[in-house]
Formats: sequence, structure tokens, C-alpha cells
Amino acid sequence: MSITRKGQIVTVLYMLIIAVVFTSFVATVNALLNPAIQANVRAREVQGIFRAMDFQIEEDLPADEIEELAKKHLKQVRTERTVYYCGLGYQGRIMALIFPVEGSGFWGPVVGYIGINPDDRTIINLAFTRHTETPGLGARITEQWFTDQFRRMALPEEGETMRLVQEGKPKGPNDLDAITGATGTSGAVANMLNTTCDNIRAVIREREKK
Amino acid sequence: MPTGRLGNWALIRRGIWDENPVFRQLLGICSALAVTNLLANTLVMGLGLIFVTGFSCLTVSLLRTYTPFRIRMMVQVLIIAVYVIVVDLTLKAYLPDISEQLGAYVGLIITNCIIMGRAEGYARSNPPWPSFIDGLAMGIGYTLVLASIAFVRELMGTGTLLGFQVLGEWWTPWIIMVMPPAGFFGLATVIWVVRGLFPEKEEKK
Repeated sequence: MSITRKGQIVTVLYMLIIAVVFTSFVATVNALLNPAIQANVRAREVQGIFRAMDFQIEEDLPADEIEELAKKHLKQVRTERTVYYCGLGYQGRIMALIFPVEGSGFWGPVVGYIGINPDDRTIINLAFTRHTETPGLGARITEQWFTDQFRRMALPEEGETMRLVQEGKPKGPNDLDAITGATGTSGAVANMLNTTCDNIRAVIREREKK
Repeated sequence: MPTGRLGNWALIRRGIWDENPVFRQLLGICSALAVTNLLANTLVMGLGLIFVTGFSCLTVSLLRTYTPFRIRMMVQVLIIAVYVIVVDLTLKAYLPDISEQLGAYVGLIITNCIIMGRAEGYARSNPPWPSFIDGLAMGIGYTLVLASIAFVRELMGTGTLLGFQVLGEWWTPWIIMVMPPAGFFGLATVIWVVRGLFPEKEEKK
């Protein structure tokens, strides 16, 4: 049974029509849902920033309310080195400076935020918003026991580095517990933190000059 | 293959038990291993698959008399992809936390052999309503198997079920249950137990 010219044309035409119809359907759904999706992406980042500055907000707040809070309490500042946020309290006073902590993790990009108290140069909190690390291992960077280590820690001085070392080993003032079984992720996160600390020190110097 | 007239209940029973896609047909294994670490993820994945399989088979069946034979598979994949993208977008818009946990596995539903298997094996030669029922039934069969594996994996791996702490401090979590090997062992155990206790008719010989 040979394919006639007419049969070929019908086949191609059919495929074309099917493709157009179904792709239009998907495009429509995408257009309808995209605002909600973008709002969710933004809300997750904002929640991370609020966690990094210990700004308590209700759980399960809808994305638009989170955006309202962001407008009131976060002021973005762009410098040559980095983008950071001024976290404003309810009186409009600066409670925190929040810096992004990002880089390549063990499997993929890791994004988080670290909040600094500008008055005494201590860390308020560390919060991760995005990563693709191994569940049960590298992914444990989001667990409270890990991020709590950073609370009230003094920002390392110029030339000092933070290290993530094996649990149980003796530690200096800038050493913290790594995640057992997640050496790759722990090392990567330590590097990211040190890069961010460089940025933080530079920004604080600039601000103090004014 | 066309199976002649099967009533709706027979189709449902066949999809969930007699020809269960996971432990009888051994299809859809990859996702069975990947998403069963948490029960909530499994249920959402299962619902997504039920939706996609049902509606893909329905759509394939509606177009079956018009689709030229030689391009039928391209059309099937296109239809499946469309429904999976809709599920992915819906999750990202309304259940962003679960969407993040499932990650790439939602998109990989397109490659799940079960859906293509039903589209090619049943929907393309049967009327729309039975095709829809068959698709739903196969999806439910898949979900039930995965849920039973996830039940054990989450309970023993973290002591929780659906996020709620069930086992107290006394339970030492089996970390291996959270990791991929447990998916292999769990699935293999399910297949072994079910086929051992309920062999298919040919196997009894």
C-alpha cells in the first residue's frame, strides 16, 4: 500500500492543524496562570528575605499580601558588587541588611539570604529559598538546626573565613557544623557564605563612610 | 489491543488489579521510585497522572478515526505533553510547595510508559467513554501501588505520614528509606508479594 501524494498532504495538514490547536490551548492556559506563577516565585523569595531578617509573618499568606509587606518593609539597594535589601521595621527604622547568598551547590544553583544587624554586625538568620541538593543530605541546609547555627554569630572580620567542619570536631569562632554525608554541599555553601561576607563588609564600610 | 466490549466496572477492576500498570505490566517504574519518598508527593503525582492518562486517552479516542495511522504516535505524544504541561502550570500556580518538591518529575509524566501504553494499546481503537474510564483506572492502579510504597517509606524514613508526626521519639528513622535504594526495594517487594500471592493465570502452569 503506497502513500499517495494526496495522503501525504492530508497527513501533513492534519499534523499542522492538531499542533496549532493544542499549542494554542497550552498557550492560553499559560497566559492565564502566569501571573499567579510569577507571584508565587516572588513570594517565595520575599519569604526567604523576611526569614533572614527574623521578620515574622503569618504562614500561608497569599502572594499579593506578601508583596504588600515587601513594599512596606524592604528597600532594594543596588551597588556595583551586589544587590541587597534594607529591612525596615514598623517604625521605618532599618532593622537589618539582607544579602543574597548564592552560588553553585553540589547538584545545581543554591539561593538564600542572610540578614545582618547593622548596629552590632551580627548575623540575624540564614534562609535558603532555592536549591536542588540531595533530599536527606544536601537539602538539609534548609533545616532549622543548620541555619540556627548562624544566629547571633559575629560577622567574620576581613581575612577570616567561615568553615563548615565535621560535626563533633573542635571549632574556632568561625567554624560551624557541616552536614554529615553532604561534604560537597557543605563546602559549596561555605564558599558562598564567604563571598557574601566579603560583600557585606564592603557595603557596611561604604555605609559607615556616609 | 481491542478487548471487545468490557463494561465500566470490568475496566476499572482491570486497571486497578488484573492488569495493574506497575506490578502486572511493569510500566511507569521510574516515577514509582522517585516520588515515593513522601506520601503527599505521591498522591499529588498520582492525581496528576490519573488526570493526564484519563484525558489523554479520551482525546486520543475522540480523534482516532481522523488520525492518519503513520503519525498516530506523534499525535499521542503531543496530546499527552499538552495535558502534562497544564498539570505542571496548575501546580506551580496553586500548589507551589509541592510543585517544588516534585520538581522535574511532573514534566517527566510525559515519558511515563503507562500513558503512551494505554493510548496506543486501548484508546486508539476504542470509543471515548471506555477509553476515559480505562485511563482513569490505570492511573488509580498506579497511584494505589505508589501510595503503599510511600506509606512505608515515609513512615519508616521520617516517622511522619503526610507531614504529621506519627511515630514518636523512640523511632530511629531509617535514612535509607528516604534515599533511592528504598524505592527499588519497596517496589520489588510489592511486585514479588503480589505476584507470589496472586499469580497471573499463565504463570500458574
